[in-house]
Order: sequence, then structure tokens, then C-alpha cells
Amino acid sequence: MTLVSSRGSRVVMCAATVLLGALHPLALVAQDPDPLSRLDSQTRFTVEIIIDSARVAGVPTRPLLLKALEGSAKHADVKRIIAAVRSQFHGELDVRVALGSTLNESEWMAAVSALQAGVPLEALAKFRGERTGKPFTRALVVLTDLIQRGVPVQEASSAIMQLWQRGAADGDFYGLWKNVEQDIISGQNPGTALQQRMREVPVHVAPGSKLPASQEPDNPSS
Amino acid sequence: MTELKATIAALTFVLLAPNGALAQIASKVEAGSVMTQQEGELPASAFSVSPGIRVDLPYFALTAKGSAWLTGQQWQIADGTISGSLLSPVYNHLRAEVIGNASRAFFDQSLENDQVDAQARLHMLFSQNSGIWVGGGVARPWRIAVVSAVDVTGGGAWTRLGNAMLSGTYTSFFFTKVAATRDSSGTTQSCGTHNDPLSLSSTGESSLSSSSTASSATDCRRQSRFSDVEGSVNWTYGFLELTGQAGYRFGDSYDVTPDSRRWAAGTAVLWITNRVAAVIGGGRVPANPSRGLPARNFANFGMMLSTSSIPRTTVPVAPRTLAAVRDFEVRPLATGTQKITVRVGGVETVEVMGDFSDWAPLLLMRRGRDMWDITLPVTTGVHEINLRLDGGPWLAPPGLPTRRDSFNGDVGLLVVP
Repeated sequence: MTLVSSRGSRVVMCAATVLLGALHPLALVAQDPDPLSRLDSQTRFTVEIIIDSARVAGVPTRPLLLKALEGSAKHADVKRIIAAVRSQFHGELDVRVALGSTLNESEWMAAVSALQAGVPLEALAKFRGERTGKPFTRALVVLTDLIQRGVPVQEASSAIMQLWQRGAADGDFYGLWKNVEQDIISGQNPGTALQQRMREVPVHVAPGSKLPASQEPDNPSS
Repeated sequence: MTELKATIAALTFVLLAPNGALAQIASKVEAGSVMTQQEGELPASAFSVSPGIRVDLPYFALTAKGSAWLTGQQWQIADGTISGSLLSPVYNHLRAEVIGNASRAFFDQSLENDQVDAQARLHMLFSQNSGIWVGGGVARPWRIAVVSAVDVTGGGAWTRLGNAMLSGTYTSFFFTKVAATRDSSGTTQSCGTHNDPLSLSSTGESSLSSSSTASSATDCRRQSRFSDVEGSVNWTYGFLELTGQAGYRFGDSYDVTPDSRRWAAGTAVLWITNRVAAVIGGGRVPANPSRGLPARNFANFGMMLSTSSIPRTTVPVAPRTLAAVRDFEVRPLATGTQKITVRVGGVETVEVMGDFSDWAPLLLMRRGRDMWDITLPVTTGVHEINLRLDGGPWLAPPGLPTRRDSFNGDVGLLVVP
């Protein structure tokens, strides 16, 4: 009887272990072998055509797939999903023109987001012109958010570019965004909030680098 | 011995395991002292242990709870309830719900009975923070002097005001019971046209005396009807949760005893840690004529070990806005793994999705009263992420930069360094 009970307990424990292992959260995010199977046939067909076009054009295809899956998860209708995927594709083509094609996945995503938020192509292209290996992902993420919160595109683009040229670190961009966000929530004009908070961002100038006169930091006491 | 250990291990897992991955599981064990007093009796006190567990799936919830009292040297089951609730998706602000309950009350040998009941409700939700419902159902008690099913109809309204949840309900009960020919004030009543004279068999089972019309009979079958109006408030402030309710019963003196006209009760829960709380409460519980349970005063205090408070309200599940999220944090664990922690109270489910999950929703696990988390493989770089509470709309988590998502919403932009 004891033997049976012990064996039974072991079986229960083994089963519980297997069950817990199977239900471990990391097990739940295993990649779907065919994520497009979540789309209906009509959407899938069109998305596959756009993905093929992206492959031929040499721009990333995964963001297109993800955009379709996002639309599906949010129960968007077919037309909207296809429009979103197409817009993402065109955004990538524009980013390639502005920044080249040697971007990593995050840079692609941040740049397309900035373009879709309204950043002009020429403003985006300045990041390539100034590119010296400095990451610009965080800068573009903050730029996108600021525009969405109502900061005029021109002001936001110019301020973020200025900071980036000054060598602002990721933490500086995050700190600026956090402060401006709080000011906007408090009721301040978005453009004014950005201008005021810009003065508080510390300047990081690498030895030997020079700043254009027009980009010297403002004197807070003036 | 092995069986005992296995049982203890299984019980510990069921009661204290913070969650399941596919279903949200909340559990608690409350232990302490409870004192009760019925009309005309001396107060009685006992040590009480009350476990409870709630399993939530997107459209189904299962709750089991009960309590056992230690009086003298003997344990007795005081009550136990198992409830299931099936919810439809929200469509045009409307949501249907079907509820089934089975319960047992066992105060002593003379007050032992069971009941099964089923209800259907139609909820209307307004702007995610308030709603109304109407519904009806039927309950069937056993082993008491109620000789018909109990028709239950009613409605209610609820709203959230800041950290407080207010609700009001109106519930009407209608059933046939075996009643004395004297009402609660002692006045002799005729069985009348609505009442059928009754004789009791030697076994105590009621049986209709079809030929008798004797007005001198001591018991009647009588149609009973009364209505309860009850208001409740649940207020959370930091580590303190206060719950209070008060009610009034409408009905004639045959159906409503004076001690059950009005009642009020309150409970305070003070969270000492995320899983341990001190509980103190007291008040008056009205009689339950359909189950033969008398009105009583009660007071209780004790400790609660819990993964979360198990909701006691009749308020339906409703989507909440992210304004309720007090904290959203992403922290690296092992290489390529991030732990997402959300602090939000008063919700049943928290989910995230993003490009890292191929936009498949992932359920966070409850880690205490208001703490939820999930550990995910998220690579370095920019990721888009959405969060939702209680099956509501997908929104950008607070504290993250956002962007429009092409689908009339926003996504958060999570930068993993």
C-alpha cells in the first residue's frame, strides 16, 4: 500500500513538474512557426506580396510581418491592416533613401516611426550626415513621442538634432522626454516645455569636436 | 505519511501558488477569531480558518471558498460555496453573464442546508468606470422549510470614484415556505387565500393536507416575498482596504423579522506585506429566510495570507483604464531576458503583447495584492509594447515614449539597452 502510495506520489510529482514546465511563461512565447497563419487568406495573400516586394527592395521584412500581426491582434479590418503594412513598407523605402540600408532592426523601426509621426525626410537624413557611429535610436524614439504630444515638428526635430550633435547620451534624451511629458501633463504648451527643458540638458562635448556657433548651448542665466 | 505530505504539498500549491500561466489564480487563507451572536442567545466565539481560491479565464471564472470553525476541541465546516460565472464578450456596451452557485451552510445540526442556484444577468457598461445590470434566476434550497424554488430578480449599479468602488443593488426574493400562523410580532394570521394549511409529518417533512382547512393549524404554506436594497463601498488607499455595506429589507412582518429590517457591516484589511494582511471586521448580517438562517451580529479579526483579495462585490468584470497602473517597470534578468512588472490593484487580468511576442497576448502573473509580472525573452533594441487590463482596450504602458499604431491606438516604445 505504501509502495503504491509512494509511486502514486512520484507520478503526481512528475506530472506536476511536467505541467509546471509546460506552463512556464517563457514556454508561452515560443515563436509561432507560421505567424501568418493567424491572418485570413485574403490578408495573408496581400501581405505576402508586400513582403516579397520588400525582400526584392532590400528592406527588412520582419517589421511588415509584425505590423500585420499587430493589426490582427487588435482586430483591425483587412483594409486597415493592409494599409498599415503598405505604409510601413513605404516608410522603410523612405528611410533607406534618408539613412541608407546599413541600419539595424531597431534603427529601422525608430526611423520609420519618426517618419510616420511627421519628421521630414530631410531632417531624418541629417542623422546620416552627422553619423559617426553614434546611436540615434533613442533620439528618434523621443522625437517621435514629442511630436505626438503636440510639439511642433520643426521645433522638435531641430531640438533633438541639436542634442544629438552635442553628444547627448541616451539618459539625457530620456530625462528630457520625462520632464517635457510631465510639463505637458501639467498643462504647459508642448513647444514651450521643450524649449525650457532643453536648457537643462547637460552638454557632452567630446575632446576635439566643435560645435557650430548656432548650436552653442543657451545660457540658462541669460 | 507520504499521502499526508502529498496532500499538504498539493494544498499548499493550490492555495499559495501565485498563479497559473494559462489561467489567473488568486488564493487566500484567512485565520483568526470570529464571534457571533444570534437574537436571544449568548455570544459564541471560535477560531476560524477560511480558504478561498478564484480561477479566472477571459470569459469564465470559478470561485471556491469556505470556512471551518474550531469550537472547543472540534472542527466543523461552517460554510462552503463554489461558483462559476460565464461572461460574454462586450458588444455595444452590453455583456451577458450566467452564474451558477452551489453552497452549504452548516452552523449546527438544526441549521444545516444546501442550495444550488442559477442566475442570468445583462450588464451595460459605461465608459469603463460604471455600469448597471438587471437579472434574475432561481435558487433551490434543500433541507429547510421552503417548499418551492426561490425566484430571485434584481438589478444594480456600480461606479468607480477615484480609489473607491460604489455599488447599489436591489434584489427581490419570492418563494413558498412553511410558516407559523403567527407573524414575527406574535399576531395570529389566517392562512388566507394565498396560504394553504399544512400539517407536518412525523419526520419533519412538510406535506400538504389537502382536505384540511383548519384555521387552527400551527403552520401554513405561505407565499413569501421580500426585497433587499443594499449599498456598498470599497475604498483602497495604499496598504489599507476598507469595505462597508448597509442594507434595508422591504416586506411585511410575516416575511421580515424586526432584527433583519436593516443591517450594516464593515471590514478593514491592512496589508503588512504584499501577501500578508491583518483583517478586522464586524457588523450585522440579516436573516436569510429562504435558507432558514437567522440574523446575527459578528466580529472577526485575524490574519490573511493571500495572493490577492478575492473580490466580494457583485460588480461585473469591466475594462479599466491605465490610469490605475501605479508602476510599470522593465528590468533585465539573464541575457536577453526581461522582467516586466506592473503594479495595479483591483483588476483580474493584466496582459502585454508586442513585437517580442509576435503580437500574441501574454498573461502576466499575479505576485501579490497588486503586483503582476512576466519574464520574457526580449532582445536589445526598440520594441513596441501594449498593455491591457481586464480585457479592455490595448494601450501604451505608462512611463514609456509612445507612437501611433496605425490602428487608432498607441503603442509604447520600449528601448532595451
